[in-house]
Amino acid sequence: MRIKTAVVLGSGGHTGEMVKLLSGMDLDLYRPIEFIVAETDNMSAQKIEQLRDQGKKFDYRINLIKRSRSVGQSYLTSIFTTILAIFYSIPLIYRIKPELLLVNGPGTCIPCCIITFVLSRILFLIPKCKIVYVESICRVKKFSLSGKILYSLKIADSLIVQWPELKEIYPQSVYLGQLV
Amino acid sequence: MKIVFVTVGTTKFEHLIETILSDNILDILKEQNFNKIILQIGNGNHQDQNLQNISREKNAAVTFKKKNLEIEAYRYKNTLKDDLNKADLVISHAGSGSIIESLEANKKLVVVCNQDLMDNHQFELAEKMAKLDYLLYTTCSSLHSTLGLLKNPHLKFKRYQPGNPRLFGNHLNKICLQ
Repeated sequence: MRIKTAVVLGSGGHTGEMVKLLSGMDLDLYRPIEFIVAETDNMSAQKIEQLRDQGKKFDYRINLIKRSRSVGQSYLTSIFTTILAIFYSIPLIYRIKPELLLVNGPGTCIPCCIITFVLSRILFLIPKCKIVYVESICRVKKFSLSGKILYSLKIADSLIVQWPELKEIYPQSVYLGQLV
Repeated sequence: MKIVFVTVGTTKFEHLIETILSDNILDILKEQNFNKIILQIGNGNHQDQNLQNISREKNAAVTFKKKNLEIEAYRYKNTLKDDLNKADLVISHAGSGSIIESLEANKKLVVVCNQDLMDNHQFELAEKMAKLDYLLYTTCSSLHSTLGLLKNPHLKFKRYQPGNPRLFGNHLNKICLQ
């Protein structure tokens, strides 16, 4: 049995954490993995290669999209670039048809989550896809903006936090312990 | 040889590097019998002559002496694991990757928060890890007094409990296979 998985990667720490999360997954089950990476991200591809070196069979592809928000970009202009990113994400998600979308926080992930939800649960244009969000280990007391958006949209099948303090503030979230 | 490894991660933290190379920090490191400082400076731009011309190519390093301490400086390496393993003390920016790698290597760790970064979400992690007694955290201006704390023989760091990604894998299976 295989579960086709799309994984959105963001800059630096996000990719580092995602690589660790992947190392705890059964990669024989969750494959192929379609990585969705912002065009301007140079480091992520290297970090993914590290997983292959761990000797596991690793079936993956890298897809590039336009960045929805750059680090430090003003929130106002981010609205426009996010809308742009949403349009770029539609054909990509439609082509991939993931059964699982795994995201962990960078701005790039919100358009993908919204598109996936709309395509699979509202328009039924792609098969049912689970959306799983893992908040960064850096977020102890407050959600990131991505986390807040997804929590209030209620489109994630599971929204996972890594500190008990966050679980107390966001009772619908899942706390499993420190994952990375 | 007693080595301190200073890392700023993938971006830059010029203020930290300049603080490390200042006289009073070099003095306190010497007092604690350090002989060598390894500086990973990222893409920082520095006035210091020794650091100015370091190439952005990976693994391009320079060595020089200051106040009789041996100093090796570079921007990036393919992996920081070797320098991390050699270190008797790590002084790091507050990035989660740097913090977690240093703790997993069981190193004495002082984390310095960059007060110039606006949305300082990294600060929450450093503060939490400090509360859990895994590390000390400070700022550039307080680095000298924090390093002074390391002289105290009663200062104990708790043994680090690493995260477990298998907990995530198991949970994911429950969600996807029901």
